[in-house]
Amino acid sequence: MKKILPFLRSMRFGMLLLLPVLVCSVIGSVIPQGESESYYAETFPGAYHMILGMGLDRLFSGWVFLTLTALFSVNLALCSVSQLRAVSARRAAAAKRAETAELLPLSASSAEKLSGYLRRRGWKRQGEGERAVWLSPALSWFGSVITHFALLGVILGAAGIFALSSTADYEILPGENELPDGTVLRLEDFRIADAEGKTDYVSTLEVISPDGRASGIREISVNHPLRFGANKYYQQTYGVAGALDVRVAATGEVRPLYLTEQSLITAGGADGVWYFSVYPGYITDENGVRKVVGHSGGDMADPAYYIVRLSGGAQEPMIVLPGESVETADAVYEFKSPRYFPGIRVKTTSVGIYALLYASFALLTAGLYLCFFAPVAAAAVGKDGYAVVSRKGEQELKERFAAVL
Amino acid sequence: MLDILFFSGLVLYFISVITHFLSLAFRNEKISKAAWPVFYAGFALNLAYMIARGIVAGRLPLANQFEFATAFAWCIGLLAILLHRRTREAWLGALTSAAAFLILSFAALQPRTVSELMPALRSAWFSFHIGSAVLSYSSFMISACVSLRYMMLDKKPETEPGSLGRLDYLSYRMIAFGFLMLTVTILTGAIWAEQAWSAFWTWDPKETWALITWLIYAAYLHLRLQKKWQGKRMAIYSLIGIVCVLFTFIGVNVLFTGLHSYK
Ligand code: HEM
Repeated sequence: MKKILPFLRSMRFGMLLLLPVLVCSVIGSVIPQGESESYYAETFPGAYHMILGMGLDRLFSGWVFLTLTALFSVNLALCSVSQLRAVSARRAAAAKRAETAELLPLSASSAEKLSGYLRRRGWKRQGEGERAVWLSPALSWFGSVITHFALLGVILGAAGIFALSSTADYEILPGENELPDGTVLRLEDFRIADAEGKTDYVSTLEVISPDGRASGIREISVNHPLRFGANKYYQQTYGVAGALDVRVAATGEVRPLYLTEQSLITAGGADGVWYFSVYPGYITDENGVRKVVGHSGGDMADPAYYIVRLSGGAQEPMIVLPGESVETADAVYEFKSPRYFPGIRVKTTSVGIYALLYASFALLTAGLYLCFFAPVAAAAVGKDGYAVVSRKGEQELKERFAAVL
Repeated sequence: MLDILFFSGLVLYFISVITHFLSLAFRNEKISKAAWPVFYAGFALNLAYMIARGIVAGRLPLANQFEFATAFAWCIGLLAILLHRRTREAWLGALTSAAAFLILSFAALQPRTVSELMPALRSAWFSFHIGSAVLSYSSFMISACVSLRYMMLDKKPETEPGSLGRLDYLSYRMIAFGFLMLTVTILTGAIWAEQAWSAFWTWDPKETWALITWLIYAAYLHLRLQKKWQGKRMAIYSLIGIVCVLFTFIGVNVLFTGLHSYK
């Protein structure tokens, strides 16, 4: 154990781990990740057995990469702890070096000036001797520690997301849509472009959680997800749904329907309409017969429905336009303009993981700033001379001091 | 009109490269004195072009590879000018103006049509993410120029003793700043991706290569501080680093498709 621990926290071990991480990253960027088996068979005909066999199609969630990341985290954690424990010893060592360093000449008034400058810059004076020792601001000694702990926080946060968060995509149609967990999304409106024609994809909806709490009507769009309860809702994609009202003859009841896939619609069980698809356009040939053009999806310039009417055992394929109706013995099917609908992504993650990640991001940036722009240093200022010692940027500090003097 | 601004800037950068190299080759003060104003003029046109394009587009002109490369060239110019004002090094203009010229030439090869910003790019994070990326790539580029200079001087007997140390330190400082900016790029990109697409990280090729670049420079910092690597080794390292940066910037877009491929 006495030998293993120093190795586990050594930079040598960190560097050793870095190499395979880099190799994995390069491979993972060359081989597209997470595609279907047939994609690899088509794209890499000679190598797809190896790619699938070795898990190179899901390299970043495979055991090799996860083990490397876990070992790296152990290395980083041990190394960060030892850096933290070394801070006061380092300060003491730096102070000692400054105390015994060779002095550069300085007049008494300049010594005052330099001391004033150091005080203003947040340096701390140690002791009261002839030769005053100053240490760079307290935070500067923690730059590297903060950086490494923050990195650990980022890795742990990423692991938390990997293990605990889940996402699922849903097609949300006008009206109420119940999700598997009992949450209801009530879609009020969805638009692709704003009044000036600029695409913006905005869903107006209300989220009602399984315990009955409601978010109120909210807008979500790309870059503006909605957080409600444990879930976050994202505007992800959109599609086109066929829209029709079914008027049931027996009861007079009118039921609005939105359809995204082939469906059989029937009021009494025998007659009805087979709904196939809605097409963006149609033409009428010289015999007055309509034919659909293009395929569903895309811009709905001149929409047309392709359906089959089922009536009295007969099947009649038809092309129906919005505003037209189809009748059977027991119902009337009134076709309306198709509607765009949103694809909403629902993500479930704990707020704690978000907090850990965002705090780590902020600390990482702050830590790096301290590392590079507030270098650890010690200075000695006596009546007739001064010295400055630093492992990084000593020359720069000397120049800065010279400028003050 | 926009094109005239753009190509005038490019031509001025080119003239500045030639004059800088001529002044070094002939050790001629007069040519040297002319080279910097030409560079300043190219830099001013580069900036004027970006502003004009931003006004025409009604947004920050950083939304595609052409605009990024134009800003990249300008930022190399900015850092070069700031450094020159501090160091007064004559060689600096030759290498950095060549770098700015090459990057702007790369921009000239890209389509220049002004397009509407796609919804995913309309975010407050956009300017932080791309702005920090431009700053980081530019400082890595300046570090590479400094390292190249180091390699040129390394074997020369007449090299003044302190100058190699100064170059070595300058290259390190540029990498340190670039590393901080690359960290900001990666972090803001992750926050933005989470808001736009729900995932902080998707191992998209651009993200993966930004991470590779980041790890390579992280190793540089450790080798320097802990293993006391300095001088020629680090100059070579910095040159390898810039190849990686340029691959992340250009190679990834050419070779792979992904969220960042502008396609
Ligand atoms: C990718 C991960 C890492 C990053 C981004 C990182 C970043 C940094 C940075 C920015 C510095 C300061 C460098 C400077 O001021 O020039 C540093 C220093 C240091 N790092 Fe790391 N580090 C990482 C991983 C590690 C690991 C795994 C270890 C330990 C095995 C480690 C050990 C150290 C040590 C000992 C120092 C010197 C601290 C000092 O003397 O002040 N680092 N690191």
